[in-house]
Amino acid sequence: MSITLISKEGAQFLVSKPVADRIGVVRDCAYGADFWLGYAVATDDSMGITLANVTSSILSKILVWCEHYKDMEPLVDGDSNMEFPEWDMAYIGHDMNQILFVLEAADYLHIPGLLLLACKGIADVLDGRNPRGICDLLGIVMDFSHRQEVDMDKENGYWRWFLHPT
Amino acid sequence: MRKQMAQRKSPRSDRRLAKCHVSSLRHCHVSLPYFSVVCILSIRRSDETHVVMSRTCPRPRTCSMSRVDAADVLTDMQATAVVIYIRARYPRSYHQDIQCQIQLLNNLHHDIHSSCNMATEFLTPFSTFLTTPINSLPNEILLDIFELAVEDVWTRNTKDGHNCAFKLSQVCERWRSIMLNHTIMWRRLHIGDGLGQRQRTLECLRRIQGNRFSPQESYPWVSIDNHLTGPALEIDINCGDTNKYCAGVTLRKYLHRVTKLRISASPEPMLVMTKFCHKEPAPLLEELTIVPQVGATRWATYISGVDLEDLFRNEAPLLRKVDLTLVHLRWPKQLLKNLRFLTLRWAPFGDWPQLYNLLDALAASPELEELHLLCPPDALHPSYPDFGPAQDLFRDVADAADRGTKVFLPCFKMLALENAFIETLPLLVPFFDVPNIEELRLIADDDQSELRLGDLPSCDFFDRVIALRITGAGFESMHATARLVALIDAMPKLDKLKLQAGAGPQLLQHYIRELEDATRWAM
Repeated sequence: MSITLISKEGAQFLVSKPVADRIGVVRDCAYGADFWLGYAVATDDSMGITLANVTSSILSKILVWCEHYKDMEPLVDGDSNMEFPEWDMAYIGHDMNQILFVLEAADYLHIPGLLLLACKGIADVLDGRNPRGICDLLGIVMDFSHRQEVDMDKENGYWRWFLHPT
Repeated sequence: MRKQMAQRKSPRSDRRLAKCHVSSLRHCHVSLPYFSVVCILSIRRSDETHVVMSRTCPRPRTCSMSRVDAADVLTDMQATAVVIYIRARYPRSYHQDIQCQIQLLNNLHHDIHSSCNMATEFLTPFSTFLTTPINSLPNEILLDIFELAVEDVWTRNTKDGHNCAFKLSQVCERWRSIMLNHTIMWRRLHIGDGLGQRQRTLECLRRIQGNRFSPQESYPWVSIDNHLTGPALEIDINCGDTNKYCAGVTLRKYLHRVTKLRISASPEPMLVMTKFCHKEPAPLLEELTIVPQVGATRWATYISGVDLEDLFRNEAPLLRKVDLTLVHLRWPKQLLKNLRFLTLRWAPFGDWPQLYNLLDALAASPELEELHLLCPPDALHPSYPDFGPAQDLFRDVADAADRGTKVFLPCFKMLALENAFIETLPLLVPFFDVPNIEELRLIADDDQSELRLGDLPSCDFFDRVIALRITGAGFESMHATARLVALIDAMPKLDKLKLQAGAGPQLLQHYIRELEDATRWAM
């Protein structure tokens, strides 16, 4: 049995059941309804499931991950001493925008393993950067109040705190 | 009619109209509101007849004059002259009101313009915020990202990991809010030396202590009592004299919440901290590492009253992973029980266990999975050429052999021996009954050209090993390679040979030569 997934642009992706099982939303939509309704929603190839928030490029990338993990369990949150396989790290890469899109899509599609991997990818990109560098990388605005800046100076042990402790 | 019109019109307007013999004034009711600019077309048709009519009005909705098309009038009446009067009437009182209203409108316009600018300035950050993808992530996912980021760095370097939490809290207000509202992000505590470290330690402790709003029962939250609840802590102490009391007090106050504790300090801080550790139990402690810094090892041997045997008041029931450099005076029997991972690092002048001590400790940990006996390079000091870890361990080998007992470890999977401890292999493994042994790891940074393995005994240990990992370039001599080959030959089930960190060229050459010889023999 296979299922057709339709991306935001309308592109269609035909996936097998083991691959679709990795996508929580699709699994629930296609097979999970069987438990509640007595029949599955998508029972033949002709039916498609529209994933309105996922673009074609991201969906194809996600399906690569699902294809890789169709026969084995990915790392999920809660595993102690997590160490991601090399394939995972090569898959997620270091392109921050791409990782963010994958992260949003994994959250939307309910894929915990990919969500964790994307979080790991972002954490790796943040590694070694100071706050200013993180802001520049992600386009974040430092919107601290004066009071908070003083607090941070105290945390950092800057000379200003020693000269003006108030 | 004229009277009515005279009442309506201004005096000037009346004078102008009075000169005309206007019979058709009845059609011209010039009752204009103010602001009206009136074009009056006066056409003299004959000497006796005048026609006055309106032509245009810029504000026709306020003009009540009857409208007559001038072109038609000119055609029909054969006008001989056209006079256009343009009048604008602005009475003084109304003029002032109008000026005021104009001023008000100008002010209002200015205010609106300012408000627009302010709104633009106010909304720009929001638009930037919304267009930044990471800002659209929910707090839970951001928290996962922060947790992974801090954990990764902490695993590599505890000091950097500790600072990483502070860095993440200084990016923007939202991130800071998330970090400060989750005490779990501050559970990794590094106490070290250096500028600002003490301040950061105290700030971290304040954050751990300050948020008690949602104690949970599940890991990593604990609730020992109602007053000191919070996340379980991982503490790494790596300090000199500067923060030793800060570290000691922290240990005394939070030891009941610590799951992982690493102490790496110079002599005096080590004394202070171990003394504090004697006073409190560690009910949640799972991992313990005590590594004296350079200079602390020898000094520590003279410390009295800091034996590890009495550490944590003998209350560390969950302790599963221990990494010790043995600088204490007594073998810590009470500490080494129910373990899964045991690492013992040799130190000169330390009180190394004799074999029966080690076997007793292993027997007290039936779930032990890994045993590491580590010895730093150049541990054999020239002044003690014949006195090394191996000899130290087997001073009582005769007594232990007389006992004739084996230690049954059903979960045991790996034995790692480093440098001088490699020699203990043939002496140690006959005492092990390990049905599930998988890997033997030999780490050789020292030159092993004088390796004394002796005759390898036939025992179950060698029969069951399936993987051999060799790390380091210590086996490059011919003699060491020959001993290694003998060891490999003694392990019939070996099917994985892992060579790391420079190990292997000589060994591979040996097997290539052997293969070539076998090929020639076959031909």
